[in-house]
Amino acid sequence: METETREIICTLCPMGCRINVEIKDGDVIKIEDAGCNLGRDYSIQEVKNPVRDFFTTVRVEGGRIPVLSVRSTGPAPKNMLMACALELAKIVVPAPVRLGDTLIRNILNLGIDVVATKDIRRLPKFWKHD
Amino acid sequence: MIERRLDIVVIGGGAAGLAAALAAKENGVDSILIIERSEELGGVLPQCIHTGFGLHYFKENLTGPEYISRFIKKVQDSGIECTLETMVLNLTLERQILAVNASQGLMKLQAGAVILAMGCRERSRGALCIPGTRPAGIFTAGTAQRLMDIEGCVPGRKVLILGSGDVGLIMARRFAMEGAEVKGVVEVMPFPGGLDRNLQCLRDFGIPLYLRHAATFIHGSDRVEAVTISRLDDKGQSIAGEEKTIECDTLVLSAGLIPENELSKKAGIKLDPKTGGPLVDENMETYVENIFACGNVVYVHDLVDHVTQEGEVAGRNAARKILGNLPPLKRRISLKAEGNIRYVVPQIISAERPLTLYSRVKRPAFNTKIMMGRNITVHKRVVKPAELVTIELTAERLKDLEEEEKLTVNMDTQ
Repeated sequence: METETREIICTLCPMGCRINVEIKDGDVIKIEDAGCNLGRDYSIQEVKNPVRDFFTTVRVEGGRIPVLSVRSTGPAPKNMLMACALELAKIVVPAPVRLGDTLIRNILNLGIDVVATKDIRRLPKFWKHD
Repeated sequence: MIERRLDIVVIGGGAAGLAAALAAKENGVDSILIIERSEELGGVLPQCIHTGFGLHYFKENLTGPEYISRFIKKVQDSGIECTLETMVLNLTLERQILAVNASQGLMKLQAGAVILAMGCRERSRGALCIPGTRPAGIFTAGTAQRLMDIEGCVPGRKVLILGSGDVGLIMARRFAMEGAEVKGVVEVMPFPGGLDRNLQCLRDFGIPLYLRHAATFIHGSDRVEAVTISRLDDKGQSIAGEEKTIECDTLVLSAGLIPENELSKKAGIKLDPKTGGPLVDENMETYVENIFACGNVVYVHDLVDHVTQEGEVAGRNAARKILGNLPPLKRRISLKAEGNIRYVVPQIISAERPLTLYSRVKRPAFNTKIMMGRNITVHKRVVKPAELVTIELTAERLKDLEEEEKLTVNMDTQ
């Protein structure tokens, strides 16, 4: 198999090192321009199993606002982000919702849950405040 | 008309205002009112649904709503009075505030101390002077974010983003995750405006970044149909024949934030032309006694964690002032930014105690020294316009500070 070179921007600190890696058969065989060892580890992780925090919104019924912000309890594999978003597009959550409420347990068998990141009261949208 | 006297009035219920009010309360003042223009507390954070907040302040990776809800809850539990959907119309140097809302009408407030925490707003199309037609479909990034993450509608399907600030990069990812086609991000400067780590938002979705390009024409009669972008030369002039017309139905503007200081200007509070915010001393007091300021109204921060900390400084000192425990600064040394340093905050220091200064640079630089006056040098491995540069004035360093009333802060690139 051919070797592939890739530039990875390290997100760990403000230096933002642009790390150049050489990949062969899915393995990192050379790492250049990493400013530190954490950056080296990060670049390997980015090649082998890149993960991202997952967050989106889901529809809410009967709430003060029509969408609820949600997040995963841990990072998700990068290539599963869209699949997770499509799972959440299927559901409608009834208000009220409390921050931390679990909406989907073990989404797509990834071992992470999806939880609400805000409270939404059960009110019509243009209800006046007390 | 309602007339009231209060010890402290906080104008703005975002991250800065909430932190300031809480700190004032913790330092012994009970008569506090937070005035908020919007229908909920929290400022912009309820719509910032991505992670990355609180890494410094809480040592946790939180979303915007999670971060700010901790402060909203504290404010509610502490019994601090808040008035929502209330607009401050005027502020005077004597700390008289005229405000209005729909349920109470006009109110006249006399505050012992005022804390300005009005935040900032986005540069709009008018401020950017982009030629072309005036169709629907042009949004600032923050408006697009609000539409998507609070109001629940995606405002476009084919999106071009102008400006590579953090909000623009984050919205590029957000649009992509909602299934919109993001045509690219256009940046005038030769380097991205946002944090490097946010470039990941573009790379993950294969979104092109056009550096050294400007939007030179907006097309479309009812709705945006396309945007022409041009490559720029070293002087920032568009190069003839290097234009490209990109078909899109939405143009998102992420081209800078402006501290919102109409009230400060009306009151006659001295502003720093470089930051666009009030000049402040190390207590976060403005040039007007008993008027304090904190957060993005002072200068545009990159991290909410710093806004919270600054709000706490302002709130604590406003409370001390009300209680008669804030002695005037023994020395007032003016700091002047020069060279690659765009600005430095606070602009007035006493050098009596250790302090962190925050500054922003004009251009990226590596292995560089920041010099304060003649005697203090602080080494920095890397400085970038998108990241605030901190200058720690430790007790050790302050010993070397010369006895001058004005000091320059400059940079020496090697």
